[in-house]
Amino acid sequence: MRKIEDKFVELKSSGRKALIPYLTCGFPSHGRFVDCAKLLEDCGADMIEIGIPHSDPMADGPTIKRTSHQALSKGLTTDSAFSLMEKVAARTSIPLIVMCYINTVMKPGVRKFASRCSAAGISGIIIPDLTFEERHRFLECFKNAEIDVIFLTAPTTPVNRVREIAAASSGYLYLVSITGITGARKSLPGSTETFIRKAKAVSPIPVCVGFGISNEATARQMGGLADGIIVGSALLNRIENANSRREAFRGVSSLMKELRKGLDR
Amino acid sequence: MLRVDKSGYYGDYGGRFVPETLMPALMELETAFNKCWKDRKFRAELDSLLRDYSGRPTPLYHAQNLSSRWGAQVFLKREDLNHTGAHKINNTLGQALLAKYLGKKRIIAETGAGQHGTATAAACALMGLRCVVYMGKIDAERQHPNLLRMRMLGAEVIEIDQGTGTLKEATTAAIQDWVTNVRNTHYIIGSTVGPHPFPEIVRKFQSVIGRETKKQIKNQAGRLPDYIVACVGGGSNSIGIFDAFLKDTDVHLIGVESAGEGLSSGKHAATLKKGSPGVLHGSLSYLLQDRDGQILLTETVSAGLDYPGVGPVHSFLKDQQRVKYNTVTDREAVAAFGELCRFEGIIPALESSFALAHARKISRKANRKTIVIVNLSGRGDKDLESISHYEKNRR
Repeated sequence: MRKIEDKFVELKSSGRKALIPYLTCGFPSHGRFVDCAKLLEDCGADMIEIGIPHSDPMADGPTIKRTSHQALSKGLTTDSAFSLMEKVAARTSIPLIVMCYINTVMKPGVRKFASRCSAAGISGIIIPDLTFEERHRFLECFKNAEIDVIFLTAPTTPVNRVREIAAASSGYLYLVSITGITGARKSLPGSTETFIRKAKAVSPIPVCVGFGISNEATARQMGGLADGIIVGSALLNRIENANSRREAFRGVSSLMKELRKGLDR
Repeated sequence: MLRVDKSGYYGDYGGRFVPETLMPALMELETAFNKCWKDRKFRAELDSLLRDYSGRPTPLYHAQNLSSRWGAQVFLKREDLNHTGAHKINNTLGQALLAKYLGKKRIIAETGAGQHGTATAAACALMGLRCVVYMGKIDAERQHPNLLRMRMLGAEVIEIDQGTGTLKEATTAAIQDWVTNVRNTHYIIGSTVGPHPFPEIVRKFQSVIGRETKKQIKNQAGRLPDYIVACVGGGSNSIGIFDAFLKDTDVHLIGVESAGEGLSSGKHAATLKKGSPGVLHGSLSYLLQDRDGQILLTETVSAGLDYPGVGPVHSFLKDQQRVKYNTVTDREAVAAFGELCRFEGIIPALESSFALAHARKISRKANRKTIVIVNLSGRGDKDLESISHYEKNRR
């Protein structure tokens, strides 16, 4: 079992920050998705978030909406998503984190979904529409399956609430950088930095920032304060815009190099 | 019998399933609403707007021609006579007042048939609030008159060209706008859907329909009705008229969903009839979904009913068996639409025609003394093109 916690201990001892790329499961094709995940590990990813596509992704911007719909239209199901994740787990050795919407978890039943995660070699789960208030019937099932539940906090979250959410969260705390939906942005506001400082002060676990990080500058800005960064849309854009498998891989590696540079200085 | 608990649940349904960004705003809204709803000044201001601006109370009209054709005594609750032409204004006036109380200067709304968008645009014009309405592209085409009305009233209408281009996509777009602009924006949701406290807010603001109806039928008939029939998309007009009668167990309450081209065709919007519990747009309720929890497409001639979800309060009332939910096909609804036009001189909204069509079925089996009330939730000027298009395609 690859533990997120152990990964952060390892990172801390080497003085590094976590780089956590996101991929839409089954995008751009089943095979290429698995290859991309392996490539990400080779390019210095510390963990990988894998999104199980949903027809109506409430928290996602145009890029993830598009990649999700493309994967679904090619016939991706929850079953095939799990078998793809098993393949990724077999070819990599870093922690894998599932990101999916609550209805995907509830449909087969929370307990069943949690045990499937653990059977597939998943270490953590992020559910963007699971609020802290609704956590009770979910937390225990995932805890029993030894899956970390990573909660999100936003710039609108009052600091006392950040403290409560961080206490319920395990693995890391996910900080949403801006009020808004996912999607690459060229720059992030200074207020995000204040928010990270506040969250760091009250969180007993590592704090990672996502939404909008797309380049060396935003990676450096966020990585300077947080324990790690999450990058989704910018990466998917590279894969989406490539005309060939080779071009896609080149795009992915060059972005990873750029982000690593911003993060490691 | 109908209470929402602290976490926003009606029995097993409801709750809050949204991005964390919105949670503080939802909690603030809940506190503000509870305070305003109990505040005499707020209620007096709302009542006077409903009376002087919207024209309430709306009549309860004994439709004698329909009654003699159909067999039972048919009464119509004339929500179509409200300002802007539907029951939607009951909620938008209330929520716009609430937005002012919250100090939010910008309003967003989703709309299907365009009635909620129009009612929001009017309330915003009245109260000096900026208004942005999200509408699916297909809906903007089939309900074009309402698109023009919203723009005339000063609203910015954003057409959503994604998915089926209907209410579901418009609602997602509105929620995403709210996640982005939550600090200065209030989201006036149009039906009894969405995360807590929205379903409860909309239910309370719409409950005026049932309170009036109860008084009116007692005055006119000397007793309570045998049946109350209302259409269900998200379910705001239906809960509005049902609410005052929930404890009167002798009154049969019937919600009517669209069976589209027929339940077996797969082209329908019969969420309660054919769906199963799941989460869409922030609450747990019945919805049309596949085995992986992906949301299914709906199809019906009525833009206002074209939605794969339904308010959590209706899921609760279905399980409690206090309300029966039935379906009517597009074809039956269009026929009932025609009958009301020709025999009563009233052009109903297509949505309301689904309730009418079911009332017709009940009346045919009932005796002369049976009283059937139909919530005529809106007027049908917006639907003239849809109807002629529908009839042309059938020929």
